[in-house]
Amino acid sequence: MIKHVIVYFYKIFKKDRATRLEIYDIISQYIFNGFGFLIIFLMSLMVVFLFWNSMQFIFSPYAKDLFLHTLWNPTGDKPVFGILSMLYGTFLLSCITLIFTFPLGLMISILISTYFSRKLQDSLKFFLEIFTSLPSVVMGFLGLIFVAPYLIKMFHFDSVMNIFSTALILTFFLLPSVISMLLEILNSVSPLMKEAAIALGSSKLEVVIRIVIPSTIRGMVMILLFILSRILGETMIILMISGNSLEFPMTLFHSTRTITSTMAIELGEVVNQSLHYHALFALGSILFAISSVFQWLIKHFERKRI
Amino acid sequence: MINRHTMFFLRKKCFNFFGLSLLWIAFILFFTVLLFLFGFLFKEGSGVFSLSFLLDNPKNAMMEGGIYPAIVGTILSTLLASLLACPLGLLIGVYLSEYSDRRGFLYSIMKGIISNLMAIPSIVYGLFGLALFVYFLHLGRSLLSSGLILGFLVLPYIIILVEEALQSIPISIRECSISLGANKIYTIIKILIPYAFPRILTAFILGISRAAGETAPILLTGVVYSLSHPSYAFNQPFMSLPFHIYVLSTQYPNLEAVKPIIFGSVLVLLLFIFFLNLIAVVIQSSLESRRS
Repeated sequence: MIKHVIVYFYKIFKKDRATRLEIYDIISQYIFNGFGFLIIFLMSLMVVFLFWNSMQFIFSPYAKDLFLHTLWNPTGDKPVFGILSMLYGTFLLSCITLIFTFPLGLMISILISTYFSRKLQDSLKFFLEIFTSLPSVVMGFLGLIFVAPYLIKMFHFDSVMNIFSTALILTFFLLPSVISMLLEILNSVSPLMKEAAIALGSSKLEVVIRIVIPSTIRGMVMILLFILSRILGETMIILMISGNSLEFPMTLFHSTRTITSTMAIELGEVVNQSLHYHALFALGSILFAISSVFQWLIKHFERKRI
Repeated sequence: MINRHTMFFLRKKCFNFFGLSLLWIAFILFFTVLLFLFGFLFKEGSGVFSLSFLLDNPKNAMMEGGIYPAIVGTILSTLLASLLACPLGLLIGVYLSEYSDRRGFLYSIMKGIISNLMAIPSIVYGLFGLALFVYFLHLGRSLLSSGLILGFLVLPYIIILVEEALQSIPISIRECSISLGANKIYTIIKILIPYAFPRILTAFILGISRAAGETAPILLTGVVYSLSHPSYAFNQPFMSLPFHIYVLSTQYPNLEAVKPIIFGSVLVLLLFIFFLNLIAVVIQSSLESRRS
């Protein structure tokens, strides 16, 4: 019976080109649909692996220290897993980097978008695009050989590795991408509004400050969130320059360690399936959750922009 | 005599002058520092750069010799990543652009997932690779696990760019093809993909150049400190240029002694990545000039 059906279809398949093409079409549709679902599968695989591996830590009695303790001592006799000092270090670092990056990026992109010709803008954008793909390890190395020695000469810091110098290097690392995103946002304002304001007697700078920036305020918030999420996920620069000390960072000129660099340092020598291993996966899950929230907020601000 | 009008214009002039000079100061500061840093990097690096530096194995605990194993490792892991990410990215991009219902619920969920995957820190990808490839699938800390996780890392970028490339094709071309009797798969293979091919190629190249510079994921899934010979085996650990730079610049007590080697490695990595980016940009600009 089945053999007859197969032979029947095979005969049609051989003889009739139109049917053959139709069958190809139907098969390819199923194949492409399958590949589309692969992306959902990949995401769920990631969530499952991260949370499943951190489960054993989350249900252990040590998990309650996570947001209550400043001490991170996973290998002691009485292990303590507190990430408050890491979170505070990340917070300080984000604040300083934001204070440097955002105004500087805004100023440069205002200058480029308002005063430069279209051709010069395009070539500068091309130049910046190349620098956006710069590996962070190169930037970390530059920070190590330039910023740190000069800073120690200028300000007489106790240690070269501190939050301030990390923030400086992060600023230079993030500025190219921030500027090229800001340029896109500033150029998206309709020229009608700008021309109307110029006709009423405002100068170019006044147009930018009074018209362009207020009308793109959602885009600006998006950029702020983008910078924050990049700092949160950045590993190599912070690992190389911030000094990785586990103490609570009292001032800006103390060394710190973030969640990402803790994972990078300790996963190399951790015993497989130990409590420490699961705790590091819990850190990864926290990072995953925070970056998802940031991404959701960025989408939210992006969608409402008109 | 100063009346209200003169005051107003004076204030305006001052505001403009100081504002503009502030903007110029920021601009000049940023670009001078950027050019200075990279000029210095290229100057120092080109002093070390030679054929024997590229093709020698490291000697004397990596203080001397070349970086050949690291170059081989970088190229192989990038190649593996692109073998995974390029076909998969093309297929999923075609699905999102052509087969999915672009106003539907499923499409918005998929777009949300892709942008979420793009935003996840690269170290979390490393963690995922450690759990999935190294321990669950028993691939061990090896070139294969690192290449696969780099592929997953660049997959969302390639998907987004491929989808954009296909969406930039005018609808009239699709309609024309269907009106001549071609079905959907025929239209995609024979019309749409060749039409968008330069932009798809750009997407692949940008993805590959991103995979070449990542350090954090391979740090957890199989890169090693030093090898005396280049390793071509997929189930063995490997050396990689970004990790080489990281190790030399942080783990050695005497930074001055290894500085030339770091400068050379940085130059090789930068040349590799900038070259790929340049190809992408040239393809893009030649395409634009052809269309217009």
